[in-house]
Amino acid sequence: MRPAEVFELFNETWENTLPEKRLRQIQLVKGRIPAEHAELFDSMLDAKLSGVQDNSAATVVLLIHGIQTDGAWHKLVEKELSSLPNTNVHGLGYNFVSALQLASPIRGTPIKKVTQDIRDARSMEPNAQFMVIAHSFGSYILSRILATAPDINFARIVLCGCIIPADYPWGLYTKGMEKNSVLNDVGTRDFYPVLATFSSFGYGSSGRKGFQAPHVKDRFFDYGHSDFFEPKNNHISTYWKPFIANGEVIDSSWDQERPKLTNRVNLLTHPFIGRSLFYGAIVIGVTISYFW
Amino acid sequence: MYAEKLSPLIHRFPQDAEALRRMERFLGDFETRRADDLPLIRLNPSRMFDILQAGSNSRLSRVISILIEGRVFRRQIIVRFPSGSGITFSSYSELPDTVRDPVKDIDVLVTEEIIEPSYILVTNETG
Repeated sequence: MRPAEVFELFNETWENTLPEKRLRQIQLVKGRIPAEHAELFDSMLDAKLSGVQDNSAATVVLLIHGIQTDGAWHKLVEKELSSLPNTNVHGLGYNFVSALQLASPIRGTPIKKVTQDIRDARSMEPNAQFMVIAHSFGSYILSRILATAPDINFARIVLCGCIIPADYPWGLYTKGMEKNSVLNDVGTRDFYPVLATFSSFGYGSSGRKGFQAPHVKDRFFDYGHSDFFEPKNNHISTYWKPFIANGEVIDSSWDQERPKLTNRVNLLTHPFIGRSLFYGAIVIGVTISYFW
Repeated sequence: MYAEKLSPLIHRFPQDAEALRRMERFLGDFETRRADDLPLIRLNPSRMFDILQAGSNSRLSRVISILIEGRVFRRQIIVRFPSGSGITFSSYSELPDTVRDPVKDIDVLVTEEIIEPSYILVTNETG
């Protein structure tokens, strides 16, 4: 039994039982749940009996990692953001995704897992505002969830090492969000979004070139793919914490200084040319090796 | 003293670590200023909510369950009589259907309205 199911069961029992019978009913239901959750059940009863109300400023920040960082950066973000009042940080994980699976079109399992985790978090904190920070493959997972689960939405979104296609229709999924509520932190030395674009399908180079779209604020840094989490850059405290706390977007000086994209990157990230070059090179290589 | 008890919990529950640190700071301050009064600390869920800056009922419940299972606090349930005094129980399962108000000499039905959950510090391992 997941904790979210325990919360749902408690709330259902509380709401569907006459006040004079609630105490008995809650104890009866408690007897049917796994013992590991019994204390949680009693603690929920404490809060209900005391009339504790959710704080309207309660915030839940969800973190979705990519395939190479395995969520090690979650701890850094948790440590930094948890010092914000009424803020709860949840790292969401999924089973190992290989590079082969990343390249293949079969990517549904981690998307389903993270979707369920988000719904669980939402059911546990129904009155909180939800925000998300997604890195690399996590950004792709987020893009698929927004497109397929209309019940899931966020107050603010932070993307980094993003591999979502640049033509992603953000306008469809940001209704109700305030302006500048989607931040895309771009690393101008990040090759992974380029690689993902030309070597597979469904990905894009927004983590290298930006979205250049009205619904997303692109912000550029002299970073590689995972430099956002390097302690020496203080990126989390300098750039993400103010955004999560009050929506403040701190400009990056690299926005003005960044180098122009090279022709090589432009070619490789072109939706047709990049893939044609890549797969053409593979075909030629295989042919040559066959006849050699 | 309580830092030693909370420290392993902070490491074991990273997602609630900051709330647990807030409790650690609260108890540390209290211990510094009024060490002798530590055993008298009694917190109700609303006060816990403020100290932990829980933000939501669900998080409050989760952190309280961690503190109770970690034997930092124990629950005490007071059933308040109409006369103003009350009787304490250590768990909900112990609550009877009725209690006797010794001052007014009447039986009182135990309902939500007269139950006050609170938490007191576990000051020794048998507590």
